[in-house]
Amino acid sequence: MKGSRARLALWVVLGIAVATLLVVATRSGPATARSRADSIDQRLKCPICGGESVADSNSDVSRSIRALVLQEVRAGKSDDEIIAAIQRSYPDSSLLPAASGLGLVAWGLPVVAFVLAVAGLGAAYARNRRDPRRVASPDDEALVAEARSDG
Amino acid sequence: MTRVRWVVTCVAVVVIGLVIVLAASLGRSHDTSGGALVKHPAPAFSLPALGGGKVDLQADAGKVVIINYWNDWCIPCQQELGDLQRLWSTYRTDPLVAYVGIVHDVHAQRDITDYVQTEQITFPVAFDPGERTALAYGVTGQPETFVIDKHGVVRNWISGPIDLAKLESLIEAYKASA
Repeated sequence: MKGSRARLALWVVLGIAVATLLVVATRSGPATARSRADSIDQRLKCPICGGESVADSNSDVSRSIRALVLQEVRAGKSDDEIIAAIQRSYPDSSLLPAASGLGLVAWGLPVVAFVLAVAGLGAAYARNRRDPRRVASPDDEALVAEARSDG
Repeated sequence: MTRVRWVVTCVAVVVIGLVIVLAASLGRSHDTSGGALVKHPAPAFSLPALGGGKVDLQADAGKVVIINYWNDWCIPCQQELGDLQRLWSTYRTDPLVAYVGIVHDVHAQRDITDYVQTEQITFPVAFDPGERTALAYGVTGQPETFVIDKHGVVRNWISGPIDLAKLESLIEAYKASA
């Protein structure tokens, strides 16, 4: 009983530590125009280079889009306004998960697999807790004794 | 149902679902560039012209406008140059048709003049500083040609060299339409 309480306390402390680290790591100061533009570039797909983001691509069109995004950020437009304007000309330029079709499968499948895996682990853990600890039968003990005497 | 049979059924359902989704996605067209503008109003522009002045789309309101994105180092652009020059010769005096060749290269402004003179290009040439107009039109390369009707709506997007006869028939059709 004392051991299980200590273990629980350990898990609580560990959880708090992880949560604190996550909060500290994800907290950032006010975004500069450049960092905002970079973050928008990461969300846009290069129109001519399958799957690469505008931020990572060296194509002419991506370089032009990067310059345009920075100008628009400096002009005070919101992220959504800038992305919407680019998507009017390049409709498939979003790297965010698509709400249907292949995009849904590509983004949704890992999430479903993760949830199923966690649920499976949870179920296995619960079952192990429910089942009584197995006790060796006389036959098992005889088998072990025989093996020991052989050695 | 045994556990194994249940698992096999689940896997089969997932696989069949994936195949259906993949098949549906393959059948869809992925129009990632200028084609998105077809049937939409043409983005306005006012661009510096070679030799001075401006090329303004609004000044050509009520006309069928041909916009061609090109540059001097692009081989397909060089291949269609003769046809574009012939197109310009046909329509240069037509009050219902306007044409502009927009240089699709941020660095081209300094040396395109020599090329235009050497190739005896007489159609209007404009520059697109920062490629803002090209981005508004969803241009991804060159040559790309847009046909805008008299109401300012993009009717056709042609990626690659033009077919002169086809383009002329489109122009005539849009001229004749109400």
